[in-house]
Amino acid sequence: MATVDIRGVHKAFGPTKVIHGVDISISDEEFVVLVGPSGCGKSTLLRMIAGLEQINDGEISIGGRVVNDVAPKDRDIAMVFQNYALYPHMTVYDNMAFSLKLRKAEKSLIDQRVRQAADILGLNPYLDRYPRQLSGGQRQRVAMGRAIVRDPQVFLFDEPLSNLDAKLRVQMRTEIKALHQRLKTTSIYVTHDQVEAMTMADRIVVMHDGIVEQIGTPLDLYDHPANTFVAGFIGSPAMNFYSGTLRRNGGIWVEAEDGTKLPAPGSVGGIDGQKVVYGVRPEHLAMASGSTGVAAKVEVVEPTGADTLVFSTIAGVHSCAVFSERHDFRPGQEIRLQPRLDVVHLFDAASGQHL
Amino acid sequence: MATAAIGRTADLARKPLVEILDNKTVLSILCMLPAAILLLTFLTYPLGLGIWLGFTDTKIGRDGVFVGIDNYLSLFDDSVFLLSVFNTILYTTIATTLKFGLGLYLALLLNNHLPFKALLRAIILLPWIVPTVLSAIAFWWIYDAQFSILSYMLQKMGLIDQYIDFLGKPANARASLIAANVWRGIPFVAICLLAGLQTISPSLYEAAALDGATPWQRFRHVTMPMLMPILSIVLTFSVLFTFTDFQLIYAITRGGPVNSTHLMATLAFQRAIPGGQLGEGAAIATAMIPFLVAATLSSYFGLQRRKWQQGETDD
Repeated sequence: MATVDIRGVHKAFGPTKVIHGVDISISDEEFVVLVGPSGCGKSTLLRMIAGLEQINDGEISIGGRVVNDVAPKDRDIAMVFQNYALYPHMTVYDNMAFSLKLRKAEKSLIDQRVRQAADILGLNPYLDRYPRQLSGGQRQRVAMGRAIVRDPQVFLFDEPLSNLDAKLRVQMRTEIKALHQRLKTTSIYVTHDQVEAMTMADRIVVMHDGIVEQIGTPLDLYDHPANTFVAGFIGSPAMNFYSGTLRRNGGIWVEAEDGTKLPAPGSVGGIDGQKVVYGVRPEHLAMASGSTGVAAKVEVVEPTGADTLVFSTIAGVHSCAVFSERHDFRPGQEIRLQPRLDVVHLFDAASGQHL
Repeated sequence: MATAAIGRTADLARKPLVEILDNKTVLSILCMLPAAILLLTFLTYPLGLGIWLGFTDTKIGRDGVFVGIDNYLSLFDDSVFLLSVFNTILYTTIATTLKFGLGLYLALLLNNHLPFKALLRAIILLPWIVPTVLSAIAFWWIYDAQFSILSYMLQKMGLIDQYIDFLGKPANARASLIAANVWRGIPFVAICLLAGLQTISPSLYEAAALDGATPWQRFRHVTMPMLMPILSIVLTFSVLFTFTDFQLIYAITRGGPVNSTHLMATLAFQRAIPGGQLGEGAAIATAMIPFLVAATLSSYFGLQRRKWQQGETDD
């Protein structure tokens, strides 16, 4: 178990710069999730921590030791790959034992470690099988077992659940989290799925175009997004955004591009006439009584059972609202929705930063 | 009315045919038939005829009579035939070993990220796409007793005093032919193995590197086992091609000097066509069959799907 420090790390593939100076410091026993859209550099960063990619500039240290020039095998890390990377010609047992065999560990120790890992992951009945004979979830477990037997300082996960079906993904998500709570090994987990990030992470690092947009606990990112990117990326369904102009005459409000008056909280910063982006989460839109709130024209209603997603046009923008109570809306119906003022976000239109 | 009735009768008549064609067995036989006819005509018939001729004393221009295994009995006392068997086995063993060693090495090199990779691969294929006879003639010149460029270069480098008689001495001639065959055969092996190498997922190597495997261990524990299936196929083909090689030998040495480089294939031809002894030549050619069957069988067992390649099960 160890800390991981990433300081001013840059990476370019030929002329293409993919990571432009990233600083992240991960404490011992922490579960950190790197999340971002594809191409944001999160997998590259993980592979640099693993030693599978060279670091062009900056420094990565694991447990206080700078590892820039340390070979992957000497970094004392284990990685779970997206496609599991199980050796197809080895049984589950041999797959898990491989690293210890290479280290010339004693047979009894190998056996003990492998069986222990198999116990934790429920793989005991499958030790003699080959990867091809396993289901996706079982292969995923073998990949984790292979990491566990080595008892590394840091676990690296590279989108480990993206090849699984939705139901299994939810199950494995919980298992990985439980595993981390049990082993307490520092873990760095890469995903493009913000739900995975929210549910698993102690802290989330949101990356975009090779830079870190924001680092924080899941709820911190949800409640206090630093900019429009984080606000739009974290939370599902995504936050609704309306471009407009901040007005401080007659209360504080935002005039949307089509003239719609969007109510803003009194505590908000920014000056009168400033171009802003008004953001409100779907779950923070409630049915308005009478003529309060803003007008919305219902387009599509999607009941999920627990919630109902209502897609409508507000101020000319396609918007989403989520209701936990049931409503009987029809497409084309005119309704009025009231944003919860205490959780409305305003961003500067030019910089995207939170006001 | 009348047309409707005719239509119905036609429907009835057509229905059984459609049903017959829907039958999987019938359809598969029908689909295989064209290929089967071609194979029977152009492979099985000549093969059968060849085997039959081996049991006769047919000569060119004279129908033979059945002589049983007389041809084979006489071959056992024929030192040239026995030498050709020895040559064939030697030629196949050494050439195949070299082709695989060098071919695998080349494939591993080409599998790396090299500049002009596509061009390099195309160049590698050249020896294979040049017509055999053409490259044989080139080798003939390279090995020429008076004009050999090899001897010339070696002499200029001060490594030899006098020109090497590549094709004039039995041992030299055998080695020279093996070298030519290896030169021609490497591209096939290298390209096939390269294709095999490219099917190995890079993440396996990364996983192995993280697991602590050295480059040699990665080769030994990842590359080799993963390459085995394609390796054994290519090996079989290579053994068959080398064992039955004819063109290169015939164009460079014609089995000489003094029959010392004859392979079974060249000897069979020599005896049958220029020599006119069709029966004896056919017997020599037929004598290759057991060797080829053995090679094919060993590869058949080697090729059987390894346990780890077997299909997925749901339990």
